[in-house]
Amino acid sequence: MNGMDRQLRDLLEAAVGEPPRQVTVAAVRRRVIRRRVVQYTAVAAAVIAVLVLVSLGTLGRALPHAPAPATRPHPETPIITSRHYGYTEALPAGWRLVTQAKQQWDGNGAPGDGDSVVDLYVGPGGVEAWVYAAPTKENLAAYAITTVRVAGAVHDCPAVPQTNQAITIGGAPGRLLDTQCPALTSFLVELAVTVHHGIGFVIGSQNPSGTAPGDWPADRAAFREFLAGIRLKR
Amino acid sequence: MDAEAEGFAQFVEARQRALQRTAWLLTGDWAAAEDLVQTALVRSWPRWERIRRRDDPEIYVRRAMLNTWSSWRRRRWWGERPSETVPDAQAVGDMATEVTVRIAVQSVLKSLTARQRAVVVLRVFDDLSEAQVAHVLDCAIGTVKSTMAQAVARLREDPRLAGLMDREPQ
Repeated sequence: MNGMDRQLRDLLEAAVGEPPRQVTVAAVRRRVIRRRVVQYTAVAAAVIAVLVLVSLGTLGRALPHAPAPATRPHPETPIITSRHYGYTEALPAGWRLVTQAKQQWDGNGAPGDGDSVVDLYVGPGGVEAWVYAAPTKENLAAYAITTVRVAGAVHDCPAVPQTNQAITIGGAPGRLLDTQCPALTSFLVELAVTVHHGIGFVIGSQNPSGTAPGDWPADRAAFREFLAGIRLKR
Repeated sequence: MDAEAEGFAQFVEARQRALQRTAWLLTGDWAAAEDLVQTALVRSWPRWERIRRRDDPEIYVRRAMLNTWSSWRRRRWWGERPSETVPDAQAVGDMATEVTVRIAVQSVLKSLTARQRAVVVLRVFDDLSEAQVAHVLDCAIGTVKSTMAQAVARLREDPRLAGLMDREPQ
């Protein structure tokens, strides 16, 4: 340890002080029990739901005179029109809109799932997608580079994404960028970008539960389905 | 109480203070620090026997703590920005110096990236070796070295830290 490190250590030592409360085994045990109760309750609720559905199905088949519907209902794909950004999203199965943006993005920074300027969606397994857009004079290549640079500066992401591939978003050419950030986590973040009629669109995706790399293919597939539902204004 | 539970209880009793202090340097808040340590311990307990046999338990718990902190940060990731100042007022009277140091250190740590903050806290404050830090952060030793160098370079340029180092630690 050199002089700077020692001084720094002394400083951290002086700043940190003493914890006001002890962490006890009893408190940890209570949380473990609470966690298990929640898990078991969720499993029990799922089992009960399955049993109810199965028994309803059996009951339906057992009634010979039950009137059959004239036509089988076709669940329509819900289509969301973004209030601020004008695109439409034909929601794939398992996806839903959480919130529309409260205001338009001003083009600065790198908004995320919690910002008021994004349309936020949640899909299968808790994977999220959020959309924001603003006018830009850059072409797609430059816009993709800017998006990565700003996200890297603000959110501690690697300067170079792990993958950068060409895709189509709502009929327009786009780039799909995969990265892990913050750098010390196993969070997969995907950013899809396109520039359409002078508007730069960014569609971000992550799974906030921090899924293991083994689950990333499922998150990626869900996000691809979400992207396929996007249509941009002509 | 069986041997496993007893071993876990002894570990908690012996190490909770050190873990909480590390957690405070990461979070800057005692309530969050306590919650972070508890969460890491809750995650470690079910695997305690395996952890004890296979690994250094403290390294494992610290790893769980860092991962938990990262996931918390990740959830609020887009809302948190490195800041030059913290919105606290200085206290007056006898505690003023102590509080000034605390606020300044928090502010300096917040100006680092998450990885830099983690490396500085683990390497300098917890006195872990580079290999241990790499194990906790699940990265290469070279990454620990380069991150530490970047963090130190950044700290050297920080006038708040220079001002603090000019005075005797309290």
